Amino acid sequence: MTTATAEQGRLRRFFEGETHFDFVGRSRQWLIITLVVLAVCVAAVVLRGLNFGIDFTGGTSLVVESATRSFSASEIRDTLSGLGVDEATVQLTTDGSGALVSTTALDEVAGVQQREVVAALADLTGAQVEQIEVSAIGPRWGEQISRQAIRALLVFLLLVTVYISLRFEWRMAVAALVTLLHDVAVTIGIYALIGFQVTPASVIALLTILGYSLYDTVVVFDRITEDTERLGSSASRTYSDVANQSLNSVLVRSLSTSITSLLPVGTLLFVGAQLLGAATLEDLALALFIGMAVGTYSSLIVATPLLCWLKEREPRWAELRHRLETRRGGAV
Amino acid sequence: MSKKGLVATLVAFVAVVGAMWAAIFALGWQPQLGLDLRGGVTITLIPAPNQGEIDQEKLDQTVTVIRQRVDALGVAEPDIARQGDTVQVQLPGVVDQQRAEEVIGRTAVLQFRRVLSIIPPGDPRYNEVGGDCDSILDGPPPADQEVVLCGQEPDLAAGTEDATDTPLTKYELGPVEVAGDDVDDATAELEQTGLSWFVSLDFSREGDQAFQQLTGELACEQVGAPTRQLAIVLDGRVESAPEVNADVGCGQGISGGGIITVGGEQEARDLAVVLRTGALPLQLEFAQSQSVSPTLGRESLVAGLQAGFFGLLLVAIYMIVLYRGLGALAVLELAMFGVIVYGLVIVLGNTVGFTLTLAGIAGIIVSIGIAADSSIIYRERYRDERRAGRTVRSAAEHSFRKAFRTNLTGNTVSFMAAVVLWLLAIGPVRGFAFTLGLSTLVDTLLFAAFTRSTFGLVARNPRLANAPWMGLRTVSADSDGSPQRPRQKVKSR
Repeated sequence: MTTATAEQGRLRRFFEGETHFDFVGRSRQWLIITLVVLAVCVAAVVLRGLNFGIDFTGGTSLVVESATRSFSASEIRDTLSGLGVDEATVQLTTDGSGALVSTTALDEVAGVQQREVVAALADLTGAQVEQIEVSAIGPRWGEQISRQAIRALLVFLLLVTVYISLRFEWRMAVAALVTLLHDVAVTIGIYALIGFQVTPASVIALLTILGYSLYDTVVVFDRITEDTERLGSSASRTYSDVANQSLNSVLVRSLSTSITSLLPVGTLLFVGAQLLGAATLEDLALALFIGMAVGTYSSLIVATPLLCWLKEREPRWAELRHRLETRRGGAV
Repeated sequence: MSKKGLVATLVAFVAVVGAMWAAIFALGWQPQLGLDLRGGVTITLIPAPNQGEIDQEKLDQTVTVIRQRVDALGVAEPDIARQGDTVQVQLPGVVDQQRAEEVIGRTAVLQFRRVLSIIPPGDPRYNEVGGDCDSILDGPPPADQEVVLCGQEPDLAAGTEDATDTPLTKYELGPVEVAGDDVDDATAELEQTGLSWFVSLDFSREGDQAFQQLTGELACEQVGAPTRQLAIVLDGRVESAPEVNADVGCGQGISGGGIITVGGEQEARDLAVVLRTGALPLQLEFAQSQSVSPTLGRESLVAGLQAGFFGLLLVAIYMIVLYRGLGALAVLELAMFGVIVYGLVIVLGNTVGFTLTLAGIAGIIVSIGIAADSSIIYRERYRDERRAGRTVRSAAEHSFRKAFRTNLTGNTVSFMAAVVLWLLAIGPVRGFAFTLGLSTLVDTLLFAAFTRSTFGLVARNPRLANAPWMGLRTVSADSDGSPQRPRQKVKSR
């Protein structure tokens, strides 16, 4: 009973924003954890590599829906190899009325006409020819999309650096950018680790994550700026102390926002997974889901400790810390 | 802001939103759906490599040529647009995807060359010259050189038999003597016998002279000799190599145009279109081509709307659990957000031609989080101000100012990301960026007008402000941070 009340009390204090987690003081721990996570991510990318979808390698995918006859994956493969298409991966829907077929680019297989393949599939599955979606992707599409994405990324980073430097200060811009790179690295790492397919949609989602990650960081920095504005040279707390208090103040907001952001994206992910043709939806949602989750924790344990480390090097804050430490007998 | 000010802002805001929806209903506007939601074929083309710097003017010319070709396909409401260096062709409804690809993608480089010799399959030289007939050529064969090219597959358009099993004849050809640029007009016509179709060509004046001279020289060759044949080369394939008629006099030649015999009616018409509209100024490659059936499109739309609805519902439940009455107020804000964004999507669709795609729906769903965040920041700020000892009314006012500043800063970053993405990215994501940016703007506007007014008015209304379920009094400095107290009062009644 008593423990239950204590639990409730802790939970209540948490939701009332009265927590006192020491984020900044434990930055050494966070640094180690972060470095380990980053190392795992880099290792995953190097050792396992990324699983690029046909958008990057080029190929043709066919989606069959509303089939009226029963068929198996091997029947589809046999039909295709009868036409000269040998490399095909076939996925069936659980209710057996649909299939997703990915092949090498059809126009590169000599003499095979897309129409023939569609007609053969319609024949086998009993689906109507118009019910079969075909998407053909040239080998340079993914490259083109990625190139545009990287250009967009560079422009965005430049703009954001200027904006944060003007709105706040350059140290915050640096801390925000490092956090952002961390988020991207971890997201890519998770993709490599689990083997999720990388599509143009996930590349683009990555760009959106940048926006989100920065948004979170900016909200936290905004609060820190506000709280430290009142901090004079005779203050009784260091910059890091105040920043840590700011973090605790926005903690509920950070978590609530993440939950309310992740709920709709999670729904999107769930619905997208039920729908064969909606690969774009699913890919977007997946990358966003991972990225947002990473962005939330990094705004707390990467961005702010890093900012404090930078700020404490400023003479003004270093002096304050020095004075406070000598007064407390170095017991800080 | 005074109470009057808050009421006025709220009334004005609701009136504007109401007016927008009244207009939508009055005009009977519907959202403009993208092809992935209503069915159709989307084809994206990118310039082939090794063409040097991609000239913007040439790209625009390419778009014009493609537009003419698509118009000739007879598809309703086609949309051809440039996106960065790519060209996107959208054909709504049920379209023969492969035929569309063939007509759009043809480079249509037409050349008339002399036949030097014919190399049939089985000839000792057959495998040594001219390359593999199955492979697609990288570019038009050089105009000023002698080349060896393959003949065309018999009756390719019918597509009934797998024609590649029979090897194709190869032709050794002289340099180009008359080029496609010299063609003024091309029309598909039915032969007098009524059995086969041909494309008749009208040349320009110089073209006509060159053609007459060429045919005049060929007419001097012996009847039946390959060297009396004229090769018509289209996109690196010998389309046909007719012999100059026996009644054409040596040195006299044919004037007044030429013909290319082809098989079926559709093939003749397609070829005529391609020849008439001329070669594409740039050589293009298919980057991506996608067909979506209307049924699948509808399913995607329903799925997207479902995801949006359930996402909103889950967020609403969370807000109410966390903030009680204040959370219910936040749900009202979210609902308002949804009504405005959806209304704007319809209005923009009917005024500036914005089409809602699956990616666009994803953008809206993602922005539910952004809208909820504004509500959360405000409520957390409010609690801070209460903890600092302010009264309900003054806390509501003070926290608005601080929360709005945060909202503005954060949304500026999100908005920048959306704009950069929209301007620079290609593919379906532009739709995503558009709705994301739009939602960010709506969020800030909603926060400044609607959220502020409703929150402020509730805080000024003593009955609502004191109601325990509202949650406005839960946190205060003097109550030692014990929000349970008012609740316990309710229980004890």
